[in-house]
Amino acid sequence: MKKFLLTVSMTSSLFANEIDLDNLLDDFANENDLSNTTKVEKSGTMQLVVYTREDLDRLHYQSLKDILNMQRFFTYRESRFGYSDLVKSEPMRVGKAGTLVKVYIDDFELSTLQYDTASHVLGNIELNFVNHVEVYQGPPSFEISTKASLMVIKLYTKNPQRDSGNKVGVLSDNYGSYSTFFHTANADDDLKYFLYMSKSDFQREVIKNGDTDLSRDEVRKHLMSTFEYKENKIHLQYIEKKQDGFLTNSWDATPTKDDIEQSFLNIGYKKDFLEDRSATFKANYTRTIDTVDFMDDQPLPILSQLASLKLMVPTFVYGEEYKSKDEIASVSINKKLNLKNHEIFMGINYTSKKLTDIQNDYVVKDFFTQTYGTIPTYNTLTKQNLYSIYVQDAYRVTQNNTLLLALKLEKENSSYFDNETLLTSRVSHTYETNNFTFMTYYTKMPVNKISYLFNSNSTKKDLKNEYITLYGHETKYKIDNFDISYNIMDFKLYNMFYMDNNGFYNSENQYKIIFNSLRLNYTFSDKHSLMLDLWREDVNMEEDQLQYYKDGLSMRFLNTFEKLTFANEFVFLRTNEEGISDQNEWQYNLGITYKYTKDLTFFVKGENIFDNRAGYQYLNYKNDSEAIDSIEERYSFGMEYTF
Amino acid sequence: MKKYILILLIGGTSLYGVSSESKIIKLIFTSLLNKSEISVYVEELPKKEIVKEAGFSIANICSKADIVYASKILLGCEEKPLFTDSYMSFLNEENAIGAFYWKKGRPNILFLRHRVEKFQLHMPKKLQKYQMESL
Repeated sequence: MKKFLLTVSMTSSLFANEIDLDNLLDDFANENDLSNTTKVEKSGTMQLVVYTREDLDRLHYQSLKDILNMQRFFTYRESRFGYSDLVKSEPMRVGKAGTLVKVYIDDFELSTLQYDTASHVLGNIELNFVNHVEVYQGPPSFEISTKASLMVIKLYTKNPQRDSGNKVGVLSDNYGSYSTFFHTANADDDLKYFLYMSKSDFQREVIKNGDTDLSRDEVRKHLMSTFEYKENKIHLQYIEKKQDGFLTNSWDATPTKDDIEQSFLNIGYKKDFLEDRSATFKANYTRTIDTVDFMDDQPLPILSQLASLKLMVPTFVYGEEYKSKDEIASVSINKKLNLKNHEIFMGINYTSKKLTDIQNDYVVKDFFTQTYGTIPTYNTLTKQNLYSIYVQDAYRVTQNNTLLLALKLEKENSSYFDNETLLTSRVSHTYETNNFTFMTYYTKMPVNKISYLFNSNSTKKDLKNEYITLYGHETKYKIDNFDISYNIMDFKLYNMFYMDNNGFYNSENQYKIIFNSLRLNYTFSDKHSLMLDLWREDVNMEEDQLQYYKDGLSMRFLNTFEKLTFANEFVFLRTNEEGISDQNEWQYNLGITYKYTKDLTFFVKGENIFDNRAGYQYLNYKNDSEAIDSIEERYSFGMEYTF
Repeated sequence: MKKYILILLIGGTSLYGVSSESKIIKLIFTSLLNKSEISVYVEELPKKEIVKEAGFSIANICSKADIVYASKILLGCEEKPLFTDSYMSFLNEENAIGAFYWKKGRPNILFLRHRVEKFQLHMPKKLQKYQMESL
């Protein structure tokens, strides 16, 4: 008996020692994924979807567009200027949801005064510099964002210590696009850096509108870098884009010139201080320069003031040339405090926003000589200053019950409107057991005014800020390899801005949406998983007397067989609008990644393979009778090498 | 009889419920040192937890340790084999027999043959693919 037990014991030990070290290293990488910090620290956060480093490696997503395309309620769309937008509103301007989508890189908010977001610049940004991505829908904890938002996208750059070494990659597609990138990182004791550079020429499908070719091609250069010295972290990002203006603001969607140049600069500085590193100082500067040159063959008659005569005369405008500089500078100090059952987060922030029109000309034709020239319209300087103080207390009432209270008081001073004092409040209750989480919340968030409202001569100076209320609930059940969550969210937008002949006014009616979603993740094994997201939104725009609902499904099957990974994705969307027949659209993507060695990877991807996306019916494009896809049928391939 | 059942239970379940880092350290140190009781010298608290979780004892002073687990060479440990989590220390320290570190976005393990032999450590076949002949 003794011999038998000894043999079994030794076999057991031997078995232990025979565990494959490669598998253990894979387990170690998963256990220590940087996104785990989020999962643990922010466990009470609502409607969070995390794309881990492993997810991004296996899915081989090429840009943020691939992530946004799979999000419930929203999908990836582009405005008539070719900018990323996430809402099916008339995209002559960035829609409400565009403004309510906030983008952060390494916890630095990237925004503009023009739209109060930089999602239009970064919505299709490549992901080769990214370690992991978090997408929050609904009102997040103040630790994530104190801004009024419906969606917060957080990108985290690769870590210099973990990614020390070099990586190169190339990508091409069936439209003849190419993209290359290189990154290098190093970590020597106190000094750590990560440096990423890319150059891309993205070619897109050319759309015919009569004799006019509409294109959305884009040439992009991108520099992203982080430097860490002891407790100091510096963040530097520069993007330069030259893109076609697509339909532009051409009245009949037939522009003769459509050039857009955009440069985007972000410099951030962050330092944790105090003995326990519980306080953080952050300074952030963002600058966006837009240079636009549009021409059209059909003049747009407008009333224009001739400065010399001080008379309003009809002017026939053939195009627009403008250059604007949008700058945001902010500083903040945040502090975390743990007192018995209270987790307190508080801080102060000062933000200065400035939009300068460097050039702003209409292109007009001289009646007598029939030659084109420019007349200046107005050069403006738009400013907004925000001073805010905020505090959040997560009070653990019992071991399972947490009550969260959050308040933000903000002073909004602007160069045009009356000063405003804005109060953001949030209350939530969370009940957690080992497997279940129930969270119920209410929040009221005023939305900062954005610059398209400024300087409209007839806009009243006492225009009130729009504000949002959100009631919601999430139930989540989680066991080892399976989780399911149900969300319901009641969204209302008050004081919504509308425009009539007298300029902007606050609507007394509300813009209401009820969001419902059911999401499940099932992990068959480390190598095989399924994600399923079913959702529906009921929209009631009282001012427009418009009601409709949208529902949809996103599904992903991810399977890895030794060196090969297959990512199957399916998206179905249905829109039901009164008086219009249901619009159904769907999309199938297939990505195949082949890891030839640990350092060398090849990939191919088919997007919208059966070309079944319905697209968007842009104003005056073929008499509004046809739609254009933001997600084209596209086949891309490429390789990456680490050394 | 109870003793054997206990050994069986400990032996059979010793790798469950512990972090993968502890499993890696356990696998490497038991293979290299080829002995049942191993004493490790370690200074940093997180590493102490890892070493304890792996089932090794922690030496009070370096001279009593079989191996050192640290980011860099520690005072008084110049004569002991060092297993490090720093690639730079692995390159620069003459008694760094191996390293477990992040590079190129993934965790890596490396051993250097002549340093392993210098300390008369045993390199089993299953670890030989992580062994380099020279830097």
